[in-house]
Amino acid sequence: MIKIDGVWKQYKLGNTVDFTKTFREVIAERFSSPKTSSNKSESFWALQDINLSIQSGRTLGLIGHNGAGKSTLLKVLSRITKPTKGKITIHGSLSSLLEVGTGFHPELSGRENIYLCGSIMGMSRRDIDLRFEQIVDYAGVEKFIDTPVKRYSSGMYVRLAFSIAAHVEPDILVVDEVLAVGDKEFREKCLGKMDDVAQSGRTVIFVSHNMASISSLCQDVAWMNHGEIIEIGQSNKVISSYENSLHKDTVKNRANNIFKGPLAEKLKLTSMTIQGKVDVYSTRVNADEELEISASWAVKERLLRLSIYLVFHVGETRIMTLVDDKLGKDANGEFTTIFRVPANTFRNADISISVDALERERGMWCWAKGIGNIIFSSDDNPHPGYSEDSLFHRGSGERIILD
Amino acid sequence: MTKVVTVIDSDNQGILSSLREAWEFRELVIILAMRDIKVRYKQTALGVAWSVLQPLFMMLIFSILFGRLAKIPSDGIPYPVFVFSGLLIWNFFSAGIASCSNSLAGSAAMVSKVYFPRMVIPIASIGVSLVDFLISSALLLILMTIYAVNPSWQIILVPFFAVGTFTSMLGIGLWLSAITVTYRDFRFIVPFMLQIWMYITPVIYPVSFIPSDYRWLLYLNPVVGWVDGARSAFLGTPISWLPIFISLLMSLLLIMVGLRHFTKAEQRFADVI
Repeated sequence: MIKIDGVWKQYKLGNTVDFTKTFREVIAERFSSPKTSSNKSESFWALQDINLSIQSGRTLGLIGHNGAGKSTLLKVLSRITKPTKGKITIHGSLSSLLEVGTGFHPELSGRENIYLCGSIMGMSRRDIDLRFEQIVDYAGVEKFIDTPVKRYSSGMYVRLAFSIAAHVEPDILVVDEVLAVGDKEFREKCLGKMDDVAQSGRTVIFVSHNMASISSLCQDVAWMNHGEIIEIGQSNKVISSYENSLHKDTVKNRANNIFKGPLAEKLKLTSMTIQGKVDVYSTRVNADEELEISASWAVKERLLRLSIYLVFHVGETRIMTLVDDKLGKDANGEFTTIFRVPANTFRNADISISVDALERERGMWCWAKGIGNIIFSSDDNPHPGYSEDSLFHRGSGERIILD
Repeated sequence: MTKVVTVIDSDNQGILSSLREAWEFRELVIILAMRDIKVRYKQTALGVAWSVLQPLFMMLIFSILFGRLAKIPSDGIPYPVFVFSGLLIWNFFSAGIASCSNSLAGSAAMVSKVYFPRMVIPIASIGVSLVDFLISSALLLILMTIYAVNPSWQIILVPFFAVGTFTSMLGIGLWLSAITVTYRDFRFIVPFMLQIWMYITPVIYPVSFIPSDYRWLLYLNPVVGWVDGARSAFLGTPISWLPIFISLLMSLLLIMVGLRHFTKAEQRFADVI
């Protein structure tokens, strides 16, 4: 059983996002007056007053868009990071699978990595000895068990990594969206294994953007938004209210409500079309195809030398920026900007998009952050996990990278 | 059926409960240390021979430079044996600190994705230098036979000095590993610091080389007792207990400070790394 009582988690942006604050600056701050240095770093609440009680043997799904706090909640539950306030009581052993293959060493053989990864996940040597055959069988790597894993195909690598995690056998299993990696067959195998775990009376907490797997696996679902749980209950009910909200929450409405900056009053986003879908907040697209995003704008007064930027980011990290600065001498009335993302730029990635506009003549800006969400899905992802390498495969000619 | 109950809150973990938890994960310490040892000489042509060649080359260069050319005294012991016995403990100490301080920052992926007592990482990182220490100890015994330096009963004290070295190394290493997570500057500071540190430690010169009025200053260095003590224990020369006593106190102080700082800082590792 898990009981979460009023858990809050605060992140300081200054420390997590950039490493620009060096030792030298800290020393300098120490010697400068304390008043000027204290309020420098911004902070935000990733979790706000989470109260939740999960009975033994239940399966709970966590849904919500990017940055809603799902992964943070899993990290707090698995003790990777401390809550800022609040208390969690966990009855039983807990094991978490936030990434496939944590701790794998490429130079070591499959056998050695089973022992390494297994102990990192909390198995004793004896446990691993007992389950060794099963782990190897399940992963189907018998022939290559003494080969360094760097020689494995990506499929074998992911299968072995998942197999180790699946044989830890804790009372409570916490799984982040790791099933997004690997091919279809592998994903189904993982879901089947997780279903077995749930059937055997263990507690499972599962994060996914895939509503089909959530509804097939989870009895209960909690919907998170901006660090809070806004709805919890029977899975199909919560999933449908979440999906309804996505349709209502259009890009246009969000953009115009959250446009900030001096240019915000002069420029309005009239519609945004992502791969043919008009004004839908969250869009799933095929990573293997070129993606077209068009934004239509209405201008209240003539703007001189306007540039429109479309920013792709994960959390606070900007990954790619597309720019349209060929709007002619000036923008007047209504106009449309079209951005193209080449095929395979992102693979199996969940990206937030933001728009920025700059009138270069007067140097006036406006921006709207997190106005939409694009899930790039692909069935043959060669790279497990959400590493930056796998997010950013190939850029377009027009890209500039900020920060 | 009794089940473990875990309580997670914002309070800091105490040193004792941290240590107890690290002890429960002692198998992981060994497995991580074994990983580093196995991986170390992968894809090298000479392999483990490097652990033998490195200290021997260092001894050779020091013997020519400081023994032959600079004529630094060595208390009547053949200089190569003398300097090798000093390098033995010093290399253990400095390599241990170097790997400890980088260990956490180098394991960012693990720290941010899975939970286990964080202390396991810096402790396991010492494994490699421990193996080097054992190899070098065997080499020293061979060198002693070649130069006809006979060990005495004192040689049984060597493990005590090794444990002492380990204690001060771990104290400093824990502290540095925690601070390197936040400030990567220490990646550059530590090697530089260790370079200077060797020259204020009686490795290439004997304690008697320092005028007796200033020796107390030398003794404040927490490794002097261990370097000098282990050398005397190996070579059978009289052991001077004063620096050992001081080093013992310093080591206990260092390990306490290191543990305290580490347990305080480890709450933030996953957020900062």
